[in-house]
Amino acid sequence: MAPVMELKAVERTYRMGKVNLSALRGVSVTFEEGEMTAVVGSSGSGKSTMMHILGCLDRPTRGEYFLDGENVAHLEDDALSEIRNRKIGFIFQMFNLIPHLSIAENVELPLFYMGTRRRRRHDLSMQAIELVGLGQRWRHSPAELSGGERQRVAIARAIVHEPRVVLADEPTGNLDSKTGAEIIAVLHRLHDQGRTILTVTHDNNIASSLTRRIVMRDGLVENDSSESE
Amino acid sequence: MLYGLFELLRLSVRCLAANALRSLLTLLGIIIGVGSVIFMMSVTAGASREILREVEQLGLQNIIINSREPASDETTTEQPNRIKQYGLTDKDIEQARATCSERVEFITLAHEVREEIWRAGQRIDARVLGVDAQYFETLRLGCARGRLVCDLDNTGQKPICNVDERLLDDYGIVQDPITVQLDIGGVVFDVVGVVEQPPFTTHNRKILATSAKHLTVYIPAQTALQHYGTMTVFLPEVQGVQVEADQAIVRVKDGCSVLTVARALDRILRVNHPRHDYDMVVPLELLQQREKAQRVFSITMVLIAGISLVVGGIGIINIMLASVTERTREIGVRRACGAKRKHIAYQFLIETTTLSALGGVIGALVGVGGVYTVAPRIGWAAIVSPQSLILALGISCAVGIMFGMYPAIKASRMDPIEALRFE
Ligand SMILES: Nc1ncnc2c1ncn2[C@@H]1O[C@H](COP(=O)(O)OP(=O)(O)O)[C@@H](O)[C@H]1O
Ligand SMILES: [Mg+2]
Repeated sequence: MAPVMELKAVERTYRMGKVNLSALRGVSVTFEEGEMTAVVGSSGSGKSTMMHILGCLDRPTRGEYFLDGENVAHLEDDALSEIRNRKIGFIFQMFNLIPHLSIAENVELPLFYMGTRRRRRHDLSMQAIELVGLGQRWRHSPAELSGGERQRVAIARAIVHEPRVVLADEPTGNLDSKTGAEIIAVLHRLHDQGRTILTVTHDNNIASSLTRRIVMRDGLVENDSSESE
Repeated sequence: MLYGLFELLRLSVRCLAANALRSLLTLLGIIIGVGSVIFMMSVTAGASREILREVEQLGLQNIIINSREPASDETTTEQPNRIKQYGLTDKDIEQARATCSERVEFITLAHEVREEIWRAGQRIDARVLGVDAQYFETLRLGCARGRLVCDLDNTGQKPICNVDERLLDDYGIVQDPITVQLDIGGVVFDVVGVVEQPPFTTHNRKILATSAKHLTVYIPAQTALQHYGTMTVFLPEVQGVQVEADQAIVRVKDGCSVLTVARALDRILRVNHPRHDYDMVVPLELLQQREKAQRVFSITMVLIAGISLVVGGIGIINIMLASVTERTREIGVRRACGAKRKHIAYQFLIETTTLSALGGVIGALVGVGGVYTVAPRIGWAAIVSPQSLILALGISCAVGIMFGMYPAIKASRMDPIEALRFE
């Protein structure tokens, strides 16, 4: 079976005036269906840059990216939006909930851009909210939730549309370790249900609890536990 | 994409309500602009109707020519008999009839008899007009009692007369008016009918007046000619006035140009009357002149409205740019969830349009309020038309779309990653 995601010699350079800054310098890595992977590495090593490319928020300067067997490295903006909409669920460090929308409305966002009908949107978002354990609070506004609860809402939003992959960029970075552990437990539960999950983390406890670990350094994959086996 | 319109509208309203005061202040320009559009259109519509009604009283197919005593013509009145001769003559009328016969339906003449009216030892201060039946028809003067002067009276030169309704009131005549007799310059006239008090405006009354007197007694023109002639001599100074016709009203046939006939008549009169001892009033021309004056007012208001709308539009750009910046992260999140650029642009455009449409509604209320409170106090008859309300809403939406375009495009062009990282 083809991998869900496959990066082939991906480079990403930022032009900063006259200087070119290489954030990724030839990353080749594949992710299989149902894998749960931790991405670790020091700050500035290119983890977020890789996540953005995997999440179709950004395009590689050079190299190819196959998502579900389709080369998406050079797609137009609108096509990328559509792919994000159908195949990607993103979880951010900053939660990134829209403050003037209710919990349910926040979770519904991907469905809204899919064109899902209102009733169905509501049903699906309720299911996702139940799944992260916030069933009673769907009417609340994000400001009324704690950090951990907000991140649960963000997780619900990342899975409500049944994406191919869930990408989390330091989802516990803004949480205390106990709450962070709870969030990771939720991700584990999703993994147990068969989802493909990729999470960037600084927490070694979290990283070591996952089956696969990718270590990045200076824009390169320094170590990949699935290869060293 | 239209499927999400309702949601986006609801969202817009929520975002605007969250910043109610700010939104309202932003809308001032639009409110003033739309308000003045409504006010202007209503006042113009009201004024136009007033003007039309006033001028229509004179008859849009009519041309009114009054004889006028020429201003101090000492040099030319060195006549031994000191008889002042001026005004329209039979010759003018004949020439007019000959020149414009295909275009003119009829010409009705009024001759003022400068004699005193007495009734039972009481002097009645009214003008005496010798007229024919068409005179009443032309000015749409109705009959309140009895009958009006008719053609038979004229051919029979009968000593009968009609009086104004108000004349009876003013002189306290309570008996049946049909039994009243008036002594006009020594001739006894039977009142056979009462003329309805015409609803003429002051302005129109001035145009139609042949003398300063307010009340009128109408007698058949031929009777007047037989008894009094065209000349009046005032004793004892042996001064006199000779006027053949004090007023001529030319009725132009339907479908023929009133202005063309008026020009032709003016050519004749100008040759015959070098002293310019006549006034010509063309109601249609009057209408056009006054409508032109009205337009100047409208243009001024349109300018004010336009400036307010532009100022309002700039206010809207400003507030929406601030809103786009404030909501940068929201834009990033929406993009990450699959929103295309056009979805973002559409969302902000709807929000701007909602905002400006709200301004349009408030402006319309302000405008209508102004029409009903201010206009009557300054004596303007204003009419609020549904079209003006629709136009006002249309304008405000157009302003919203026009000025919302830039912030919306700016929002849609944001890079999703930058937007997500925005502090
Ligand atoms: N938009 C950008 N413009 C310029 N340089 C960038 C930009 N985004 C990231 N970088 C640089 O790319 C490198 C990798 O950044 P990033 O992927 O965010 O690292 P990490 O997430 O591992 O901390 C860093 O040196 C960072 O400064
Ligand atoms: Mg990072």
